[in-house]
Amino acid sequence: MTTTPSRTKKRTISATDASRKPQATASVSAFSVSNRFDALVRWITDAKRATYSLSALRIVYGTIILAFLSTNLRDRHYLWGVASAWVEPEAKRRGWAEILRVLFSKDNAFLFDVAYGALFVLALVFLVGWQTRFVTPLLTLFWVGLSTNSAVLTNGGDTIMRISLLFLVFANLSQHWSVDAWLRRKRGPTRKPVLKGWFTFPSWVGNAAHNAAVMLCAYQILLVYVNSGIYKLMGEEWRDGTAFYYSVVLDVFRPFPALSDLTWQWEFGVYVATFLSIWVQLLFPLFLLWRPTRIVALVFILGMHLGIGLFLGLWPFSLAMIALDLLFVRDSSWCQAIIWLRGVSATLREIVQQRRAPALAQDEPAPAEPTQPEVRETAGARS
Amino acid sequence: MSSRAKGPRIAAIVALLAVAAYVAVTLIIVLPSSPMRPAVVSAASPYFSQKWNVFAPNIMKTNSELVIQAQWRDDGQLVKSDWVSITAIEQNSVAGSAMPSRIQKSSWNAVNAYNKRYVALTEAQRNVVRDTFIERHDGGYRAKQAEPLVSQLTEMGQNRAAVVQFLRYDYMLKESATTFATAHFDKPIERVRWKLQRERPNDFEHRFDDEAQFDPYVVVFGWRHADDLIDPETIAVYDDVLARYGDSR
Repeated sequence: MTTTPSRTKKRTISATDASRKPQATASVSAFSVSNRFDALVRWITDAKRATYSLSALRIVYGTIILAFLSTNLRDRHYLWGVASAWVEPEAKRRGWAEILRVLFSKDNAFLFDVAYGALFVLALVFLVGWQTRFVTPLLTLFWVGLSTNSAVLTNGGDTIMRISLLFLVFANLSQHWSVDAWLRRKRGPTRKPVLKGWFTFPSWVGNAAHNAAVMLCAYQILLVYVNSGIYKLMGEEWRDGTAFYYSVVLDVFRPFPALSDLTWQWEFGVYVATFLSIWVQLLFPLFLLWRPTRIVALVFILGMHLGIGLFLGLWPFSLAMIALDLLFVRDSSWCQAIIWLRGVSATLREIVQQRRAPALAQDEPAPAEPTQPEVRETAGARS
Repeated sequence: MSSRAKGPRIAAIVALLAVAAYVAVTLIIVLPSSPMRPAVVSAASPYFSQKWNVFAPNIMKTNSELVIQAQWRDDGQLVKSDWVSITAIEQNSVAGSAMPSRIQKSSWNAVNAYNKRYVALTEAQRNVVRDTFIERHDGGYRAKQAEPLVSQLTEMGQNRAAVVQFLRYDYMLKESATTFATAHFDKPIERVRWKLQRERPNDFEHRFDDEAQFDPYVVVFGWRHADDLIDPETIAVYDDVLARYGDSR
């Protein structure tokens, strides 16, 4: 193609410039919108996103539920079982489906213990990632059944887990660090479905469902932060920087009283903790837009939740929020982190071996043949 | 776009619509007021109901306690117990435990919910509910009957819903307090009453002062007739809790 026709065309266009320019702009704009929409469609349907984050979330959620059931084990009948019948006039008016209400029996201690044990086993199986697509809905059912069986015990951690677990029923939570992944690697990718065409969907269906769950969970966590941040901004103690002090002086939130009292000795520290609690939450969505600020926001928000867990003893809530925050870490970042960690681990092992070598050389004869270096699969290659 | 790509497009649109619908629903739920709010809250509850204002805007500043007292008969005479804080016993689970048992919140949440319903009543109604709910009957005593009590209170404030909500919680606390007292005192409890006790730690600027800045806030409620059937299995559970968490502070 030569340049002459285009020049001619340019001249022709310039002659009728005034009338054609808006059309051209509109066309470019439409093209751009269409391109962006196609990119969005590809993002939603081409692959499952945040697979490392969701695998980490599975492990954290499983750990939370196991820890929760363990710490409440001896009080279970008092809180939700036969000795908690006094809450029924309120509990039964909250509109929960009857199946959820009767799952953890208030009439029969044995049946209650069976359900409690079933939830424990489900949480364990969920944590290790075995048959996760079937276990996740069952776990959700039992978890919601327990946490809604009382009218006086539910907190924000239960709420965020209840809502997100329902979304996560549609997501693949066992892509990594799971028994499912281990079995997939062992059996290989060529395993055929039992009735092909009947029980298999195109990959984009699963991808769209998975990525919708990711978007819903990401939105949910942003909603919590922004909503909570706005409420805080309306409170006098939050604005004057002293709210942190009031949160650590209530008996119900003092797992380690001496540690709690230590935190409010330093006035500046109280102001900084209060200030950060508001602004990190409020600005979290904005900070996510640019990678450097995203990293800063994640570091601060993780620090805030670790502080809530340590100082207020609200670990289930804190860990659930941390697990959801991790959704904003991309798979590529997880891969980089894993490769870096493996490098550090290999270097440390090498240093330890080098230090041991002289001592071993004195005691043992050298091996007859050199050993082969270990060949390991990198995270990047797997993803 | 080719017909082959229609499927992914439709799937993506469905996914985006699901997200958009959830965004719309939750914004309506969490925003203070909109004409659609009651209908949306009703449709989305209880699964998607959520409130994220736990520590805000006004942060909690008081320790609330449910403290109970009981009466039983000894040689035909009514004997009155000491006051016992259920909340203090339950919160013995907190100190020293990195992740305390949820028992820490049981009576603490209950008494706060009860207080919310109490302050929703009118001043005249509050005077009545702070009094005893026991009446003479056939030469003995019985609990005041529910419907006449509801009518009496409603006539004073024209707020039947608030009255019923308060009395329902009052009944729940009576059941809980009766079982707790039976296990704690090991007596056949005939009457129970309770008080809401709130202590407020010093404000930030007085945090190093030895002197308490605020007096405790105490509301004592009247006697309730303990006419519940006591379930031995329930008492065994309460006994176990008392054995592990010990006495109140």
